[in-house]
Amino acid sequence: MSVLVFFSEGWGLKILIAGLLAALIGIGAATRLSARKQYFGEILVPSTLIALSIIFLAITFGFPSEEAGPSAVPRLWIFWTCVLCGGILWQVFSGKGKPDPESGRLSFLLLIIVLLLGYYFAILTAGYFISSFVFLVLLMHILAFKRKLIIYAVSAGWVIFSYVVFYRMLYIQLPLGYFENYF
Amino acid sequence: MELFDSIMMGFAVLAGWKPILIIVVGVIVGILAGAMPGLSPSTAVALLVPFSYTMTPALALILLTSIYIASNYGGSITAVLINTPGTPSAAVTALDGYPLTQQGNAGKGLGTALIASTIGGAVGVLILILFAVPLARVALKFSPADYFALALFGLATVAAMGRGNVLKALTAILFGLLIKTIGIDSISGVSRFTFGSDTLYDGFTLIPALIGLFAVSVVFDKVEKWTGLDRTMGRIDSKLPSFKEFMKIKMTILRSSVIGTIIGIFPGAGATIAAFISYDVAKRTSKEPEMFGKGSLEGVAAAEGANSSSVGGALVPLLALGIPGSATDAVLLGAFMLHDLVPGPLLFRDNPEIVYGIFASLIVANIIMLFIGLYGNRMFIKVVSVPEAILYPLILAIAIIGSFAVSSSMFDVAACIGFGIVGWAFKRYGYPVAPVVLGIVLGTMVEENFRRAVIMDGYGAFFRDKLAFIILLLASLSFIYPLVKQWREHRARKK
Repeated sequence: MSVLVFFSEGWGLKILIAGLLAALIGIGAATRLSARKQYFGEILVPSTLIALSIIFLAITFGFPSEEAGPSAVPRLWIFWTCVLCGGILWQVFSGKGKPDPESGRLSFLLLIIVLLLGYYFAILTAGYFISSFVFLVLLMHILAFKRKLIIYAVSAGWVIFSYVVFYRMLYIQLPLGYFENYF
Repeated sequence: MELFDSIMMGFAVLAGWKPILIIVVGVIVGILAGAMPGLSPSTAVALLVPFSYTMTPALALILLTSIYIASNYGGSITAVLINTPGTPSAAVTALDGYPLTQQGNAGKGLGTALIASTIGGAVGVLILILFAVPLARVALKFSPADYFALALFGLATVAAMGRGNVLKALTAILFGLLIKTIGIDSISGVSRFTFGSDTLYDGFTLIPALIGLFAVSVVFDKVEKWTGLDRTMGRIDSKLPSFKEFMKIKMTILRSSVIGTIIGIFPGAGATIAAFISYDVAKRTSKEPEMFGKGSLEGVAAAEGANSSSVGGALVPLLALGIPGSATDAVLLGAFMLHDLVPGPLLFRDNPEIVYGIFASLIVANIIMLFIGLYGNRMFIKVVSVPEAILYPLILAIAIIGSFAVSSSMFDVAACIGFGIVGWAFKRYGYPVAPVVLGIVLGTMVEENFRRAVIMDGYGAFFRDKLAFIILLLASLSFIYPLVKQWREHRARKK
């Protein structure tokens, strides 16, 4: 029992998370190199959910133990998640599962996600309005919209709309970053 | 008489220009959102929730339910004109709507869709009022064990009714339920799965999670399949079917409306299943079944009557029991919570003006939709033709501002992006997103009632309480049946 409690917090939990991450990377790499590489996502998604369940289960051992206590329901969900994910993996390995869908433009999607994350951090520093304008202009350019005037007009229009509606009318204190004194 | 007085009270909520303006705006936004392929009613409502923050709860919910009801009609516009359903349920409308366009009768197709949606919506609201009010009265006597069983039944049927891999649908529900356990436990006060972060003490905020799962994930999905090609649509207007044509389809509209409402009541069934079943019934009972799929007005009417009436049906379990019947209802439940309201029997007792205000607004929204649909389709088509290279960046911008606005927290924005990535990955590998949302939305209800029942009466509570036992039995069947069905299908394929 004390071993389980060790993994429920502090270094024990960190070791468990690192171990499970390493295991997931290992599973991903092994799948890519194996004959089942077309099932990469079909294997990795349930494996990730099982790993997440194990982390959550470990944490529940740090909760006070009582009947219908704080660990009861999470453990119920964890148990069934592991059973069902096991079932999905069994489908894959017994040849009943469907292979992954055809890959689309994944690198293009990754670029958009990176841009979105950049937008998130830009909001914290440059404020919502300026970063939104830049984000919209950049994204429309990347999506190959050709009419430049419309790109700038729509981006500026959105910034003005969000300023009037959200900032002025709905009183939502949008982040202003370094430009706080100018608004 | 009491019901009539209550409905009159609901209409009193709509007195003045503000509520009517809100319904008009809701209907226009709903039609536009429904008409845009890729934007489902749930996405539209989730994106618009932030605009309702500073409104009174009654007005906010009137806006959102108006969007909900109109978006189901909106889906038919692109289905009829370019064979691209704006909403999943409009796929059935396209079967006959698009052939009508090819025959040069697009206006008639749109007009039939509009009139069937209006009548369907009205029938749905009528049945909603007749069902929800008595059901809410009965529900006042439910025990925690009953509520636990009901919520579990709702989740089970969502998985059972869904298309695709049942194991994945159930896993998606469990993922949502597990996510909902993050934060301070409301019964014991223990901090659970917060990893020491103060921002997670209240768990993930619902609206950013919904926006991420429903809106951001859609953009990611579209970007992955990006071709750069845009939709083109001709100029068109709505034309009501002639009196003779209307008389021919009137029974189809009424029958489909009743079928749609009843199917809508079952959690998870939703507009798409309602439209398919009604279409099938209409074809079987039609005097001209050979015309179905070739431009039959009956086909369009059956699909649209059913998908619009399912809105009223889906609102029955939401308003009377607090259990969302569809993904859009789950978003609406989030909006209720945002305004410190809990749908269910107590809402009828404590905030009748909101419940009856919603009923009245749904009736008015249907009438307004008829006029706006008749005269505004030309404008809608222009707006819907907005290039996707402009639409998707704007959706992301609305998603970011909407997530932030809930509690002025950049953590919520990060959570929204994170849920967007999870939603995209789930969709890509065949895990439906709506069950995740229903799991998140119903998580607290399931857990609290389960633990209360056990604390009050031990684990035997679920066997001693007859109603809870029967519902749990039905829930178990709902879990087992699709698994057995899938196994049988697999065996049949093997043979």
